[in-house]
Amino acid sequence: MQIQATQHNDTANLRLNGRFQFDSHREFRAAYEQVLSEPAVRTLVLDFSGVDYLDSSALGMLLLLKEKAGAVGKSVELAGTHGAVRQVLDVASFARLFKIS
Amino acid sequence: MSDGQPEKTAKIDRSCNSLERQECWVRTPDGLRLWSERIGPADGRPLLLIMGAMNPGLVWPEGFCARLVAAGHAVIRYDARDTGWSSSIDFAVHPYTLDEMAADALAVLQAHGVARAAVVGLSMGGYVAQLLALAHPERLSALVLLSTSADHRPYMAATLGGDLPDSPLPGPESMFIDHVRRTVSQPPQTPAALVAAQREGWALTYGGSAGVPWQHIDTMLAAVAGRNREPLAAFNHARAVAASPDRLAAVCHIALPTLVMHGLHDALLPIAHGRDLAQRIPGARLLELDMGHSFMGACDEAVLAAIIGFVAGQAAQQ
Repeated sequence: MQIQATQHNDTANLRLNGRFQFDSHREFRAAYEQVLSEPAVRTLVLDFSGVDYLDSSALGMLLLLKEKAGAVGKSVELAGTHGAVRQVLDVASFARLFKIS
Repeated sequence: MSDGQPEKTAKIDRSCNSLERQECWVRTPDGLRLWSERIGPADGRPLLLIMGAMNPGLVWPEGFCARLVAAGHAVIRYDARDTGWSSSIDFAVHPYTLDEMAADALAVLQAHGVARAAVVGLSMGGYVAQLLALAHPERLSALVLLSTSADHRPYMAATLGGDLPDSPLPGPESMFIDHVRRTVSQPPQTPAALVAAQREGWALTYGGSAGVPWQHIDTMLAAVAGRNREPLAAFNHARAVAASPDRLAAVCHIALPTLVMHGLHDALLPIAHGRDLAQRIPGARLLELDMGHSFMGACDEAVLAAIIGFVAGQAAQQ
């Protein structure tokens, strides 16, 4: 999975591309740790429009990110979810945990 | 009764060897010894897995447990009485019911020092989880009932014989009843015949578009072979279930966040059982999946996603 980071004012955007699965964990963690260490960032938006597959380990990574972001007073939103990714998020009831668009 | 002992030669799938593990021998209120293990760090969110009838805890796949650990859980699995390395019992002398098995599950939590856990019960493990939730709701943070029912009597009457109960729920499909009756009337006489019967039986527990995961079944059968020192003792589970009352009225009093997951192609406990269970438990969420009775090796991702999300959602609200 490729990850492209951008920032606009207090919002950081991580654009994810490819399959979000277990072997993505190192690059995903490196990307979000960089963003969480930015004091100006209040909201982290994960852009899933380029992701066509997401497995249960990715759900675990998202929960961990939410926990870490919450600990430093930042929020996480999921954007661009569609197709199979949206189905997995629905099965996991992630709308109760994240703002999803 | 006899205590199972670890055998150094026993095969255990340790494909996720990098995970932190803590084995623990549990003493039950009636003096049995149960094997259990925690997978994942001690400070993970506790999640207890209760396996279905006649199968040891290792039937919960390693990869399945590893995914739960990756989502922040400390996973606890155990060999129920009369399976695996846990004590086996002379049922005629020391009969038991599902109530004792629920007390065993509580003893496992206590032995691991867990005050409160999310509990996942599969099939008969779901019967046990319901009773645990009713007897000790303070020990559960969330309840996940997978391929299970509030009324086991139609299944037991169809497979063991006896009068059909006055139940609103259906028995298993005829192909499964035929398999059970054939196996009971003509027990396998050789190790090869036993494996063939086990493979046939497991295959009938699968359904849906994923098909039968033969490779997973063969790996799992190899992993648990030899772990049950007294394989016939596992049939005591059927006796214990048959000796237990239904829970049709009782489950209406479960006061916990509950997720019911059930396969649309379940041949053992048809989908009506899952729908009925979800309807009876106040506020329960029902998720119908494209699978049969078993999910292991076929529908793991959907089951994992549902468990991880549901339990995390409850934790966020508490």
